[in-house]
Parts: sequence; structure tokens; C-alpha cells
Amino acid sequence: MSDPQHQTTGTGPDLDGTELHHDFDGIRELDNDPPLWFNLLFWGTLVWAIGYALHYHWGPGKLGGDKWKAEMVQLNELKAKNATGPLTEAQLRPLSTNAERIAAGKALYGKVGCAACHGAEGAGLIGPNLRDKYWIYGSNMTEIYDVIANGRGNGTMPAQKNALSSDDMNNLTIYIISLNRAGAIPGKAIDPAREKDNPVNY
Amino acid sequence: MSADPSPNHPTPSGALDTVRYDNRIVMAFLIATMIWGVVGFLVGVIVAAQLAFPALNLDLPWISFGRLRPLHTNAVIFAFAGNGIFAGVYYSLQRLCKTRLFNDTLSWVHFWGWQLIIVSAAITLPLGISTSKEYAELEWPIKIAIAVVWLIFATNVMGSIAVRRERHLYVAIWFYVATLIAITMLHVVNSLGIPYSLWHSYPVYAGLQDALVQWWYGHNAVAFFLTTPFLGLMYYFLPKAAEQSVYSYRLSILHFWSLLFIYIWAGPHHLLNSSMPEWAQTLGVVFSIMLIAPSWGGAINGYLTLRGRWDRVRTDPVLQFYVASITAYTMTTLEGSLLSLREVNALSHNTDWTIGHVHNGALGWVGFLVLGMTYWLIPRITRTPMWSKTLVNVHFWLAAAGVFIYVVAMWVGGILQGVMQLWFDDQGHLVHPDFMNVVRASIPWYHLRLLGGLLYLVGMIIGLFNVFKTISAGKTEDDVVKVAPMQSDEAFIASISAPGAKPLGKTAAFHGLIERWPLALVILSAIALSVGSVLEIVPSMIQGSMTPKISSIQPYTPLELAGRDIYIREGCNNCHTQMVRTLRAETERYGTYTQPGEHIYDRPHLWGSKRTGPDLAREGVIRPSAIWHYRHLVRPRSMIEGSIMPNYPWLAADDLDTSTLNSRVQVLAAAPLYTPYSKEVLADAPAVAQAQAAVVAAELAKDPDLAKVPDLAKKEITAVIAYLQRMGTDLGKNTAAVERK
Repeated sequence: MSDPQHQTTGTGPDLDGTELHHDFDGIRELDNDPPLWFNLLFWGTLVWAIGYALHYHWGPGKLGGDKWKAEMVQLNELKAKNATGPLTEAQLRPLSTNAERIAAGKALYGKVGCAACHGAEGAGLIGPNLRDKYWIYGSNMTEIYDVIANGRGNGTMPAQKNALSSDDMNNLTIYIISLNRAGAIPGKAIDPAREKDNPVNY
Repeated sequence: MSADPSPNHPTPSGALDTVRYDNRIVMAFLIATMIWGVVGFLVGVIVAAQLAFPALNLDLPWISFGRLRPLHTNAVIFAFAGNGIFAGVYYSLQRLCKTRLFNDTLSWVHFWGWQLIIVSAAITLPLGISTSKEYAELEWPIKIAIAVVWLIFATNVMGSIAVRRERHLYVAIWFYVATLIAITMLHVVNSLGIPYSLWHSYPVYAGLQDALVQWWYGHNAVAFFLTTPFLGLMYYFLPKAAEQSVYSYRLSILHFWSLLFIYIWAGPHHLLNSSMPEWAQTLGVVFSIMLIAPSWGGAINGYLTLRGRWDRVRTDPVLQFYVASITAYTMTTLEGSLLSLREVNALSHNTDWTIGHVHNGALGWVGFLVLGMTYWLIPRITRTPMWSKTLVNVHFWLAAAGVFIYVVAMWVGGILQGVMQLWFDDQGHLVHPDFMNVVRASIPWYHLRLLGGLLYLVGMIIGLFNVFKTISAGKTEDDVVKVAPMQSDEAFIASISAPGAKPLGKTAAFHGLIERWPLALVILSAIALSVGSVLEIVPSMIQGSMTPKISSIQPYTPLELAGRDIYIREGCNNCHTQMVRTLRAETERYGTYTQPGEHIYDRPHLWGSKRTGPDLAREGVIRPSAIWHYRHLVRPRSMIEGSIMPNYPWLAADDLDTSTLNSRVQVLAAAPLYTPYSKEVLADAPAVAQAQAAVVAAELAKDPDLAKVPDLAKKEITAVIAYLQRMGTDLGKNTAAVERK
């Protein structure tokens, strides 16, 4: 214990390597070959690296902006295929009682973060109360749809048209109408300067 | 060297020297590493708790997450790991060179200098004095102090090598020397900046170039502060504790040189899928993959040095710490390389997966190695057994359980975050357009991570207690040994050519030249480290070669600049990136991907590396409302239910300090930064800032509540809002101009 550096390291039962000529503070080194799999890994990754560079820089592999462009083409095709296009007021109103669409809209209401500003029950927080009969931008379904799609207040209410399909936005509109029809609950007070008496009467 | 020289060593004919190995300096560094370890892990537990329970930010500036997180990383890396390195290097170097340390005064100036640097970090970072560059947050006066103290350490090491009595340099010393060269180079190059006040500076690099230099530094700080010195320590302390010979000398040579040469190239893997030129990204990818074998070379030598000794691992906690350490190293190095593939990185980058990865390295590899070393050294230096062997075992299992829980929590949480952000439904829309869904999904994993960190901290406190008990029971004294003077070349050659002497072997004959000649080791290491560095960094310095100019990009106005400096002070970049990657999920969520040309006036760049909150590169486009930002900054949860961002009430309460604004724009406008500021700005930046603040304040006053707030235009929050409103908007002005044509 008092002079640990006087000890030399052991040899162990399965010592196979040639021992080097000298030791360091008692530490001896053997001169075994690295395991075969290590050599394969070492040189294999080098070959892989060359292949990778060839494939992406001189071959068919697409990177960065090019890859992004190709993916966006696919994505936009997918969106176009599934787009139903905005509906007219006359088309929307009959759908406003469809239970399936209300349920889909309710799920979206939580997903895109409407509750953060309008409250979980739609009674308003920082954003206006959706359950009273006062509206800033009108109570027609196409008007509500437009607020959802394009946002309002310089981004205070963010636009959803990139995030949601038009059908999603239809369903969200339908859910908001259904919330309003469920009747007022205690919530944010009316802002008389901005909100106009404009009940949902359809 | 001793009364019983090794059988292969020629018996010295001359008189033996008496050498007194300095154990007191080793003990000082060991105590420092244990104390700072407790501090660093404690701050880690606090910041982890703040993510799970944001109320713990307490609405106090100096304890908020953004300021404490750099304190945690700096404390663990430079205080815990750093002092551990110094303790282990100073102990092993003396014995490997058979000399006392070069100069006792240097040793103690090194010790106290380093502790002073750590204390200054612990004071300045909570005060918000930060450069924002990860693991290099300390401001310029402290950076200079770091350079000075580091060079004192280097002098002491190289001096000890110069006066050594052992002809050959052992593999551990190769790693120490490489560490000295690399860290000096990294620290100096990454720190170059121009001060504008006693405690603040702007870097000489901007935007993409700053990011490239920063991640060359950040990545290689991991390589040469948390890997190479610890490999060196492993090569000394593992065979010592296992009392077994090192498995393969030629593997040591192979993995040492390949690690040095390859590691330095891999920095760009921190900027994958960005708009950095593809060739640079590809270099980051392929060199990361080629790094697997060189990294594992050390692990193989570690594991195979234990052959025939596994029975001891069952009973010896020191060996248990080492085995756990090497296992964490093996896992982390493979994981790091796989995370460097563009496809994996698209998912993992900016998530907690990276956090799990680095903690496996820091708590597992580095932590366990330091602890194993400490528990081996303390009884030897104090000449007393550990006060409680049971507590050493308890410490090991607490630490092991802690790392396991921590890393698994961050793996699962991180992969979840990545999947949720990339996920599209079958109609081509993001499944989670609201980032809050990602935050909500992360919370349970933040709780679990807190538990893991807590276990590791408790283990460390027990360890510190056990160490202090042992030290007070024992007596720290220097080791006095008799050693032979250094063998002359003639004697060495005679010894290998004597009849019946063992042949030198091909590897030793070749590499032995370098081992006998420290200068060759220094020069060859410097060359190995420079090739990748020069080839990657220099192209970014050639004007316009990597950042095509965009005509609509303008410098920040004085008010925006002031707001940006507050963003840095509060450490917003610790949770928010400013880099929209070239991925469809990101452009759908945030808008046009980031162009390097957009950030030519960003000193420093604020691209970030972690999205605890959403990306802000296009915040000015996505959310330009001043009123929203005001309410959100003061109380985030009033705007976003479930947000975990700290409240920043002091931004609304404190007046903006414009006293250094003139010197800031002047530094930015002067050589060598050449930011094109107008004469009006340079003449009176505060006046220009006040005019813009009045505009922002007028917008805020449209809100009936805010209209009642006095002196809106004078407050810090106006500057921050001006900066947020500016973010990412310049590029759109360019598109508009093009479209009009």
C-alpha cells in the first residue's frame, strides 16, 4: 500500500500477446493484434464514407434543399388530392349539426391550441368569448372560417391554413357553432368597442 | 526505479535519485472535483425541476432556467470533470515520468486560478453575463483567465515531461499532450471577440461562420476535454486497479492517432439539415461514422485489460465504476455517430434525445471514471481505507440507477418529441401543429429525468461525506521513492541489443521514436488536429463562399440589438432555436427554411441546439403582435395554457440600459466587423433606439390594460419585442421585391 508503484501489473491466465520491452510505473503492455472485427469496422466505415459521399454528391442521392423540394411536391400533391375546397354558407349550415363533424372539430380545437386563448369551453381567456352572441368579425360560418384560416390581429390569432386542411377548418367552424348553440357560460366579458351583437340564428 | 525493477529493465548501475511525488496537489484537485460535482449536479437537479415545475423559476432573474442552465453545464464540465482531469493527470504524470511535478508554484497557481474561474462563472452566469455560445458562455475577462491558467497547466505538464526520468512516454501521456494542444487551439479560436464593455463582447464571427466555429469548438470540447484526457486516465488507472497488463499496445497507437485525426472533423454534424453547404454537412456525417472504430479502440483496450480479472469486478467497487464507465463510453460513442446521420438527426436534433446522449457521456463515462479514480486514490494518498466501503457500494448503485433512469427518460421523451414534430397525417397535414402538444407530452419524462438526476446527486453527496471522513481519519503525505536517472540512448540501445534481450518488435521500433521524443509527439498531434480544422473553418472565412448575400438583409437597429443582447442575457437560446431546417415538417410549421445569408449580422449566431419551446427564426412573420409578446413574456401561462416558460416580469419593470449602446454599434461598425450602420445610428444610437421604442410602445398602448402602464417605451421589454418582431422578416422583404419586378 505504501509504495503501490512498485508493483507491476499481472499477466492473467490467458495472456497471449508479446510483452513490450519496458513497463511504466509497473504497467505492462502487451502487443496483441486488435480483434479482426475491429479492423473490419475501422476499414468498413471508411469504405462506407466514400460510398456515402459518392452517392449523395456525385450520384442520385438528394440532399438539403433539393430533397426538401421533392418532398414538398409530394406533400402538396397529397394536400391537393384531399382538399375539398372552402364551402359556401349554404353548404356549411346544414353540416353544423352533424355529430361526427362536431366531434372532429372538438378534437382539432384541442390539437391546434384554440383553448389557449379562447378557453377549454370556449368562454374566452385572452381571446374573445365564443359562447355569447357578440362577435367581432361576424357570426356567419364563412366569416368564422376566414378568421380560422387567415388569423386576425396581426398574428395574435395565428392563421391555420398551412396547418389544417379546409375540411379540418370546416369542422372547427362547425364545432365553434355547436359551442355557441350550447349557450353562454360564465366567461370573458364583452368588449363593447369591438364586439357587435350578432347572434347565431340559424 | 525501485528496489525491485521490472525484469526487462536493465538494472541501473548509477546512484538512485530520491523523488517526492506531490500528493497534496492531487488531493486538492480531488476534493475540488467532489465539491464542485455536488454543486454542478445540484444545479442540474434545479434546472430539471424547473422544466417539470415552471413555478420554481420563482420569477427571479438570477435563478431562471435560461441563466442557470449554462451554470450547470459549465460546473459539470469545467469544475467537476476539469478538476478530476487535473487530479488524475498530476498523480499519474509524476509516476509515469518518475519526477515530481515540474514546479510547485505553478501547481498551486493552477489550482487556485481554476477554482477562482469557477467561482467567477458561478457569479457571472446567474447575473446574465454570457456570450450565449454553448460551453463557452463565460465572458472575455474570464476567458483570458482560462487561457492563462490552462497554459500554466500545460507548462507544468510539458515541464514535467522535460525533466522526466522515464525514457518513453506512456500512452496516457500521449492523450494528455493531445488534450493540451487541442483545448488551447479550440479555446483561443472560438473565443476571439471584441469587447464593448468590461463584461461584454461581440464575437469576430457572425451567423453561419460563428455557428461553424462554435460547433467545431463544442464538439471538440467533448472530444478533447471529456474524451481524450479520460482515455489517458483510463490507461493509467484501469490497469493499476485491475493489476493487469494493457491488452494491446498497437491498438493504443492506432486508436490514438485515428481518434485525433478524425474527431476534429465531425463538428458540422451539429448543423445537419441546415442550409450550411452540403459538402460541410457530409464531412460531418462521414467523419462521425468513421469515428466509431477509433472510439471503440479505447473501449476494447479497457474491456480486454480486465480479462482474467472479472472475478474482482464482482467485489471491487472501483472496478465496477470503471466497467460502468467504459460501457457508457461504448454506448455513447456509437450513439453519437448514429445521431450524426442526416436522417436520424432530422428526428433527434433539438430534442431531449441529445440531452440523454450527453448525460450518458458526462454522468456515465466521465462521472464514473472520476469516481472510480477518486475511490482508488483517496485510500492510497491518505494511507487509510475508505471510511465506509458500504457507502462506496451505495454510491455506485445510486449513480448507476440514476444514469439509467435519466438516459432512458430522455431517450423516450426525445424520440417522442422528434416523432411528434415530424408527423404528418395521411392528408398531408402536421398531426401536431401546436408545439404545446410536444411540451405536454414531454412533461412525464421530465419528472422521470428529475428522479434520475436526484439519485445521482444523492450518491454524490454520500460520496463527498465518505471522502471527507476518510481524509480526516488518514494523513495526506507525499510519496517518497528512489528512482534511477533517465536511461541514456546508449544504455537503451545496449539493453535491446544485448544477447538474450527481448526483440523490440516492429510497432515499438517505429512508434518508440515518437515516444522518446516529446517534441515529435507535440508536432504530429498538432498536425493531426489541424488538418480537419483548417479545411473546414477556412472556407467559411472566405467572403461569400458559404453565405450567398441577400440584398434585403439589414443590420439590427439599435433597439433590436439591445433586445437581442437581453435575449442572450436571459439565455432564451437555451430553449429556443432560430434555425428552420430544410425539412418539410419545419417549413410547414415555421415557414421558409433559414438561409445562411439571413444571419450575416448575427454576432453571435443564436441558432441554438434545443427546442424546449418552438423555433423563433420566423417569429416576426408568424406572430408580429407586440401586445401578445408583452403579455406572454410577463406571464407565458396567461397566453398559453400549460407553457413551461419562466415568467419575465423584470423585463417590464426594468428600464433599458442604453449607456453602452453607442459603444456597441461602434464596435460592430468598426474594423474588423464592418457592420454597415448609418451615420445617424453611429452618432446617437440611444436616440434612434428611443424613437423606435416609442413606436412599439404606441402599438402596445392599443391594449386598454397596457395603455395604463407608465413609461412603456423606456422598458427592457420594448427592446425584446422589437427584436422578436424583426426575427426572420428581412427575407420576406426580398421575396416581395423580387415578385414586384
